Amino acid sequence: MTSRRCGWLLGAAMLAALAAVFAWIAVAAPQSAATAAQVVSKVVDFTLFIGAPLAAGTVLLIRRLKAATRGRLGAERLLGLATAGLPPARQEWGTAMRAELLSIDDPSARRAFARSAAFAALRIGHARPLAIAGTTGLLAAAGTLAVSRLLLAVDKPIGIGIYTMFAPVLLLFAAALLGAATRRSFRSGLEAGVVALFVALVGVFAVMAVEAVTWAEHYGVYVFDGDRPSTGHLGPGGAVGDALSPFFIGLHLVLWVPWPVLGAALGAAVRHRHPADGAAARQGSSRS
Amino acid sequence: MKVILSQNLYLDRITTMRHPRRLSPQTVAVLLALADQASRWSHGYDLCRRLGLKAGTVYPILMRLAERGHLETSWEQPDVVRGRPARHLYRLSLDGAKLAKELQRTDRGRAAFLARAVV
Repeated sequence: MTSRRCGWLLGAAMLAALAAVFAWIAVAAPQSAATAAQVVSKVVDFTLFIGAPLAAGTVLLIRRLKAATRGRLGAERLLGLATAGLPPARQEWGTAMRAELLSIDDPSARRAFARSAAFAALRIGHARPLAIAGTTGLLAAAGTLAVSRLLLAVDKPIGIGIYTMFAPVLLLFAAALLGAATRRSFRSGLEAGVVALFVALVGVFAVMAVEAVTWAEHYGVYVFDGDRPSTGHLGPGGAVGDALSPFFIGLHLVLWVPWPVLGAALGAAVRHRHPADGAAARQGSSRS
Repeated sequence: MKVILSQNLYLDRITTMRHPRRLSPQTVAVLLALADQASRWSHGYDLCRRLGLKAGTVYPILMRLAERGHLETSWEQPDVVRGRPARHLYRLSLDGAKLAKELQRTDRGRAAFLARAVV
């Protein structure tokens, strides 16, 4: 069976498993949909918007990891992983270190070489991805604040959860795509996207925690969904506690995580199809 | 062959008029070790062993030196018999050789130490 077909099968299996979990949630949840049609609609929505990106991202990542960790020896696999997806200008050096590793006969010297070279490879060229990541994370946090203040200004306390769950996804996708396309590397895109995800997560939840107090004072509702507490009264502590609940953080992570992978894959694919890049990569590898 | 770069024998960074970038002691060691080989090619791992430096130190130095035009790089033929891929080779470019000479001239004592340390 080809690797591509394995990927499709794995993706389909994962999607089916997630659909089953969503169906169970839709049926078993306390506020479950009343009719079968509503349950089906919920399962389809969840599968499309949460399951499909998760399955696609996981399959892409597994395929990349599998390609990077070929080799008989542990040291070879470690260095392969660390040098995988380096930008074209650095690929020659990754190849050089891997080739040098295979010339070392002593196992302990080989392991030491692999560890040290892998550490060096992981430090290569982070400046631009980190700049993209930082900007993206701050934009997501600034957007959260802007949406919160806008809803307060127009007197519509409907919660900012719809924004925080879905808008940063576009930013993370764009950051990873930009990182991958500008450096012509999946790895650079993934680095930019993953760091952006963590910066955005901290920024968005920090803003939500502060805004939760304002929403509680103005309307007595939770900042995430605009609901009123069952007790009727919402204090600052309860508002912040709800905004920072592990469930919401986990939900955001599940929704956000696939998009840096998808953006990086698309950015790398777009640049690889550009004929000038192939020529540049060839030129780089024949440098002497 | 080994260069001892202990804390006690720490070498100050070298600055020259023509090469305003500051070079670390490890970079100087790599340059002088390559200069010692004249026009012969060296392998990365051999340099690591000769200088007593880790691959994670030597390879970034080689990358930077190559990017600045101080090094020439090439690929040797693959070892078909042992099933090993082609290895990368390094030697000083004309510019690199000039820099190495300049380093030796600028600071004879330091260069002499490094030359002695390469046993």
